[in-house]
Amino acid sequence: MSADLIPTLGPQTRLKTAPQVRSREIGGEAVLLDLEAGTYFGLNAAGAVVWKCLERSKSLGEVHAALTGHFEVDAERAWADLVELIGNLLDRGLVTVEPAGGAS
Amino acid sequence: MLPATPPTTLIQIITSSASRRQSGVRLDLAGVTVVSDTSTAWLEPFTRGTASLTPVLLERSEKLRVPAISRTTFEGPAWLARAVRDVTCRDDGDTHRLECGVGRTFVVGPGGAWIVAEPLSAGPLDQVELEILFGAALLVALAARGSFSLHASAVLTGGGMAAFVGVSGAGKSTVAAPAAAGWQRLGDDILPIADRASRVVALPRFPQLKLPRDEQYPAGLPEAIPLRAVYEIDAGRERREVSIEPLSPRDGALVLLAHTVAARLFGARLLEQHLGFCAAAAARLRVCRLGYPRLLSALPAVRAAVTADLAASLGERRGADALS
Repeated sequence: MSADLIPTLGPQTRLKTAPQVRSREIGGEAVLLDLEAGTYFGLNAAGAVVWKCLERSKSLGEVHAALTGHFEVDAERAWADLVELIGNLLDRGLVTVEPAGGAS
Repeated sequence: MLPATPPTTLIQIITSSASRRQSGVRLDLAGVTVVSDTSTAWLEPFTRGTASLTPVLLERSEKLRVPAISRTTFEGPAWLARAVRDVTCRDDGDTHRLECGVGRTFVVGPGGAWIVAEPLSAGPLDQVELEILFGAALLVALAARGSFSLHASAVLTGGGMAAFVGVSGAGKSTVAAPAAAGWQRLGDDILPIADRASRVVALPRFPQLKLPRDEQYPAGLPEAIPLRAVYEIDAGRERREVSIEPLSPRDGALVLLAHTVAARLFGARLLEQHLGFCAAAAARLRVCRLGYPRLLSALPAVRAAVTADLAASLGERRGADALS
């Protein structure tokens, strides 16, 4: 599923955190809970920054800017890591892609 | 309406319409008073006489129906009362309804204030029903009151209380076995824990069905004991030495979440509370991964390493307290 979507992910893409997911920040990292499946996921510090941005409906371009602002990381590498993480989140149904032009 | 937040630390258990306006057995379990119209021999070490059942609850209990409960929180085979059973749990946010393929359905009320076994006219509970009532149903009620229970063995050492968690067969019971010099085993299955004044405490006064009567939690010990550390056991034949690796608060929270008993039965609201509890607890607790060779001859070294780890972390904490 995510493999099909990944090529379409761009800086303008917006994602929405799934309504059944709750998060807790713990020591700069985060734990996600899927209420429907009763499963938990750990996010590292970078993942926690990404999740916080997604909760605020930021575009992937804005998320990427937040990542490069928070961490000393090459912009290209940050984008690749971001896309990989988003793919994992989509695979697990923790986020959904907003239709183009949906949120502003 | 029954109160959503009970005014006292009391859980009332009603299993029979005959208990209307009668008193029940008073049990001190996991830091709360349980008043129940039924009991069993293995609860005798926790019995403290009798107490009244609240008439309003009894009035309600006969009419208690939970038509609003339609959301299924869990459905499938689960290990319950020493067997795999087909379990269905439903909740309406505040109330959980537990069906386990036995004669009765257990309804756990808002805030864990009461448990009713339906139908109330079904006669005395059998052994399996009693184990579910004072097991899964009571653990859901305790969780609704903020006490979540680890599947753990527990010991009191000179450096404080430690709990061992791990998958079944990992070696929890073996590490905590009473042969250990200087360690006192306080539990070997269910360890309720709670947040008291920003400290994580264990509430080990809870029936341990794996242990004989004379090894149940001693009456003379306090109801709450500060929990110093949780060790997740990762034993394997390929391991050559004992290792203790402190986990980050995030990974510590995931350990606590994974080893909580009955969490699969929790409805959405309780799951959220559980997440919040484990996140807060992991920030205050030392949670470590304990690796060791799966050999009986390694046990003295395992216990020595845990004792040293507790002593070292106690020293660190005292240092931190002095600086703050």
